[in-house]
Amino acid sequence: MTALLQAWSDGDRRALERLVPLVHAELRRLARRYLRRERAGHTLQTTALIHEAFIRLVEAKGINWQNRAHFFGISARVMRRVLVDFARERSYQKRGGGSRRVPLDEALLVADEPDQDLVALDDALNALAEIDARKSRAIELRFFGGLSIAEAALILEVSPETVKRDCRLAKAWLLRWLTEHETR
Amino acid sequence: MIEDRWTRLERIYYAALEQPASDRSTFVRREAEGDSELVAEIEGLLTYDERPAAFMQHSAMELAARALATDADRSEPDGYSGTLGSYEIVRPLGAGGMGEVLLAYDRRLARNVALKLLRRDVADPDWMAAFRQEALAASALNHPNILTIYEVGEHEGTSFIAAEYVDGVTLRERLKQGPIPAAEVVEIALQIAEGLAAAHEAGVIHRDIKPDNVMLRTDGLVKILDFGIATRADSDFPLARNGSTEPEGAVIGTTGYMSPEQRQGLPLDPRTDVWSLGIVIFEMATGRLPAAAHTNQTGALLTQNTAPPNELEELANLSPELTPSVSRALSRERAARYATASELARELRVLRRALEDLSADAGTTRRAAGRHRTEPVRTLSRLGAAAAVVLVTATVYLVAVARGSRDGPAITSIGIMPLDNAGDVRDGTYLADGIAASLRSALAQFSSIRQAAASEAARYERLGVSPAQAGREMHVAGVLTGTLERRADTVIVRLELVRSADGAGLWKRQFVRPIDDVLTLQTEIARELAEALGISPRSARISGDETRDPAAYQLYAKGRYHVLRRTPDDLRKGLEYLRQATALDPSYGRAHAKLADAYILLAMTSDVAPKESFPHARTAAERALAIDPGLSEARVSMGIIKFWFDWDWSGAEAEFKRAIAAERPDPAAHTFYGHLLSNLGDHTGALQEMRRALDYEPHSALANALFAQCLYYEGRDDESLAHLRKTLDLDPALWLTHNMMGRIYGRKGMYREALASFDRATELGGSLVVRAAAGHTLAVSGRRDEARTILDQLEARAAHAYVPASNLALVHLGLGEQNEALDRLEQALEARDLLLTFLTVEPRWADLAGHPRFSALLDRIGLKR
Repeated sequence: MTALLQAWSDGDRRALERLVPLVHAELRRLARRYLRRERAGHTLQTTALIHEAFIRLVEAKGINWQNRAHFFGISARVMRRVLVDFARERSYQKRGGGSRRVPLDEALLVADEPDQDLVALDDALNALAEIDARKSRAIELRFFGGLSIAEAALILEVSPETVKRDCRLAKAWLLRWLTEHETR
Repeated sequence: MIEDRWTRLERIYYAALEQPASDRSTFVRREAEGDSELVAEIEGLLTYDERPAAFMQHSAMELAARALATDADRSEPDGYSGTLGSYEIVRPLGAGGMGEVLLAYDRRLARNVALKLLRRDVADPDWMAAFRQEALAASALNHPNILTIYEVGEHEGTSFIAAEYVDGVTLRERLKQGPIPAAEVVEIALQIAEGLAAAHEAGVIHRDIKPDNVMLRTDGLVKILDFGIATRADSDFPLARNGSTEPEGAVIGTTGYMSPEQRQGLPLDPRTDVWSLGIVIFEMATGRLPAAAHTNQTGALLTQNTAPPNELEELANLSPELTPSVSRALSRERAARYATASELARELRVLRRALEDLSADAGTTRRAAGRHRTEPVRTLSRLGAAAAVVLVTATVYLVAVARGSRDGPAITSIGIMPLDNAGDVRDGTYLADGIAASLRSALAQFSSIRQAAASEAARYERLGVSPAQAGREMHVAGVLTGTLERRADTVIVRLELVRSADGAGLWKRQFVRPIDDVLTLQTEIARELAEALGISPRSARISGDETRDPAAYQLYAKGRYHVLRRTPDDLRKGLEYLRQATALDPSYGRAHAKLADAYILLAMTSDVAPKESFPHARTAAERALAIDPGLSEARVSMGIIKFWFDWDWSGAEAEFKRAIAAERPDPAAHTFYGHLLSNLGDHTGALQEMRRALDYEPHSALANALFAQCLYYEGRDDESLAHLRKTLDLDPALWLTHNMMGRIYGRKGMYREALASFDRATELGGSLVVRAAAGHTLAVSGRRDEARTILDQLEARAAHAYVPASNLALVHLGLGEQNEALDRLEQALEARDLLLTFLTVEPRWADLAGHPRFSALLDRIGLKR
């Protein structure tokens, strides 16, 4: 495994900082689409773009990696951290530094979706990881990393069927946790 | 323990999901075997199974983006990043009263713009409509002192103004450093007045002249911003609304600079701008606002007719020359002011002349006076002796004004502007260009008068500035302008020489000649002009590099016209005319030189095999030099041939040095000598030569692009990129600039930007090297299939036309195919591909460094490994 990847998995803040602008740029690009009232629906493309940017960054550093799947796995973790930090900061700004847990704006979720909060979900995933790390990871790969079932299966070294089942139970577990930990 | 329990839970949970929903509860209870806690947990979880979860249906990125979009929808536009329509935000420039101002890059037109985002409360539709009309009306004047507005628009709910980007500071920022020396005050005030005069003439009033709305460009050009911001004529003006509850600060228009009538809400005319400019002049000279600026709507000071005497005294102490003008501009009665800005401008022009004479006549006085002028008044009081100097200064000033503006110092430098084609005959254009060029060389032969570069003159002509202003900016004392009209077989040339300092006419002549006499006409004009300038001609001979054959001259003029346009088509046409010209008059040195130039350009931009074009170029350059060894252009051509084709570095260097030492050096000599040094890795020397070229032709896009290339080869990517952006302002259509930008973006890993730049370069007629560069970028960014498509296209073309093998090598290299790349480079060597001279400095080849075959190549080219 390469030094940069090692640095990421070690949680090296500086390595992460270099990725933050990439994720933020993509975030804004997507946001602009929403502002134009366009249906996004390009989750996979978005992820692909981010991955492309990551790869470029790694290549620009003259570093090659052996295991592509491993790389995507790490990129999902990095995106989780960046996006959760983003959500945390955003809610902090909105509430003037007040309460910690603020749901993503209700207005942006369609009626049949429950309120969801990246910060709360992050906590829920941490809690789930203590019970079943693989399930927590599966959600992380799918939701934060934007990976497909097949890609997640490759990284987790299980069958796609298992990923599906993992996600199904994890979803129920997380929803219950979120309901129980609602602080409003 | 928890694992076991969890595994059991999992097993029962998944099994339960296989059961029909109605049977699940029974199933779970049976499987849990009396563990009621487990039953509760599983049943609890099952209730969530059917519930939708955002994190299952969307990606986190998507949700975060939607949150961001909602934020943006509700608050101020987030203008610091990304794009706005076709504008790519570069960085914030500052915030104004109306909203943020950003530096942006217009992708459609490939140029930098200043983007002003308007706050929503400002940009209501009525206001926008009125603003658009006024702003565009002023902008349409295309006056150099008025900021050009490119677009007033709206994108995703954000109203914006896209305007010319000015590299400089606002007068407000400049004033933070303290008062401004008198000569500079006059210069700035004059330019503001000239801009206002043009606007007033077109019926547009600014209404909000203040230091924040004046930009000082780094080259000294002054730009008035925000025409039309304080829009609405007369009674619609916000202050006029009775009972307005708007607080003063929220009102458009800035109280300190408002005229008395503006404060009272009276109808406005151009004289309101004269007042505001008067305040600005006072502030520039003293560093503070006059009391007149602080009066309120009904203030007692309004009853006085002029600014208080004690204030004028202060001004007089600092800038005695300015006092009468400011005093008149700040008359409370409009009738007592200058009627228009052009009246004020006229007086400022006289003032400037006087100040110039002063500095010429009284060198020592000026030094003393100049020093105290830059100091605030309190310093003055400390310097007792300085008071006497003020008196001297004032006296000299009066003398200078009394002497009038008719006779000035001898004109020792001149800018010859392109002649306008006044007729409707197409041939007139190239004839006009040709005569101006011949006039330059004829005058240079007659005298040692310093001339502004032709490219500089052409630029100011395009900008449409007044001749005097062009002269000032080119730092020449006089400017020759004129028109050429061709009527059947007659040519009419009208010429006028004006003094740059004040625009005074010095000489005016009209020549009517049969077309066949056009050659003797040039000599005649040059001689008369020299006489008018008080220069005795050194000799009256026509030098060997000119022709006596009018037909050859006309062919030359046509050929030159096309060659300067540089597109492959134009080059071929140009070659044809020049060949004919040299056939008619084989001793026509200048035509041979231009022919050499054309062959070189053809090899460079049209991918003609070097072995086809360079031998012709050499023959032409040799002939030109045999006729006139001092012909600098032909020396430069010879240098380029030795550099790009012979790979004879020392030979090329000798040619460039001779060209530089020539009596009338071609500025391209520095440019290409710098280029040679850069390719050989002497970056310091290269930049030094490039700077010399830029000293002479600061606005030549080619010289600027090559300067940026030197920076890039030195590894100074960001500086290079910044310089290229400036180069785009000079000429957005030079493909070399876009190609360079693409290479830098590519090296930075910004592949999308790189590819966009390459596309633009290709659109603008870039050679195949641009396609190859795009192929290389596609390959390294992982789009190998597309890279391969380009490779296929290049190879298909190579089957029937010349394709530089180095181009193919570049794409192979991007694809990681080093052996193929080296095969191609070895072919390139055989073809004497000119791009091989870049092998050691161009970073894309670095992958091959150390490879034995690559080292062998470098040895054969003569480049250091």
